Amino acid sequence: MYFLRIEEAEQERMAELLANILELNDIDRDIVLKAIENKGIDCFLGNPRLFGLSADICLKVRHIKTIVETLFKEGVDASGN
Amino acid sequence: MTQVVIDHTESFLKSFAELTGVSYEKIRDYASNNNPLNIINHPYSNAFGRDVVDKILQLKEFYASYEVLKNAENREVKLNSSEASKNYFLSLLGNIKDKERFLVSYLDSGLKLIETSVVSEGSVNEAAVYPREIVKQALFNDAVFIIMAHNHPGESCNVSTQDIKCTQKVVDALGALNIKVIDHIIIAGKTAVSMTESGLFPSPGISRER
Repeated sequence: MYFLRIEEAEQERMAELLANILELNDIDRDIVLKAIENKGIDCFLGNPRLFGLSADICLKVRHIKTIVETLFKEGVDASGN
Repeated sequence: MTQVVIDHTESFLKSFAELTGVSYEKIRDYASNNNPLNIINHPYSNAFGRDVVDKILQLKEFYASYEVLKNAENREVKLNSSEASKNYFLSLLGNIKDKERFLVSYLDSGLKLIETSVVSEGSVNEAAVYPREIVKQALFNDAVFIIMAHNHPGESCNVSTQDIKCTQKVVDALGALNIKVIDHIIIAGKTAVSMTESGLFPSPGISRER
């Protein structure tokens, strides 16, 4: 029996989802999960180069960041409402 | 200001095209007649191939999770309807297939989210729930209402007898403290069921229309 703050649980889930997206772009999910495990998802999204990943992976991560930040800034509701 | 919005959209479109493999021209064409940000919520309406739709759906899921986290940081989540609760917990529990996870959201008197905690995680079909721990956390958060949620990894939407019994235990434990359990959301894959909405909640629910 234990409690986790939701941020931890949510970040864990976000890491999985991010790895899924990158996997669809032919990037090894284990590399992504390992990188996120080290410094957290915010850091990974913000500075993917810090993790010694290839330029191709960094670029894909930046695209994902641009997309989600734009949607959030513009107030798009993920539930479609 | 207009320029900022255009630049914003441009970078969104370019990133979207690069990531999904859809041609930039096709996205531009769509954006000339529609709000381009709608693509993520309506991937099927643009005649994309299956692989592209899969990528968009993954992006949408990731965005839903990102949105929840950002909103939680801003303390803006208000679970004032079954619909809001279902969407909120879907973004947290949707598609977890390898384990059962039990969450509890603690709300203030205005049904605004104070905190959501993972109460327990179990094997594929069982997560132990101890009302005593929920009571402790509810008091710690000074909660007035709580909403429980868990996922069914097997993706069955049926509310089980076990689900009802577990809800009853928590309702009874918190009742004496005047903390009301107002719903229990079951998540099965991409589907959410509200026990209150479906009339299966073991004690009279309260109106959340405010």
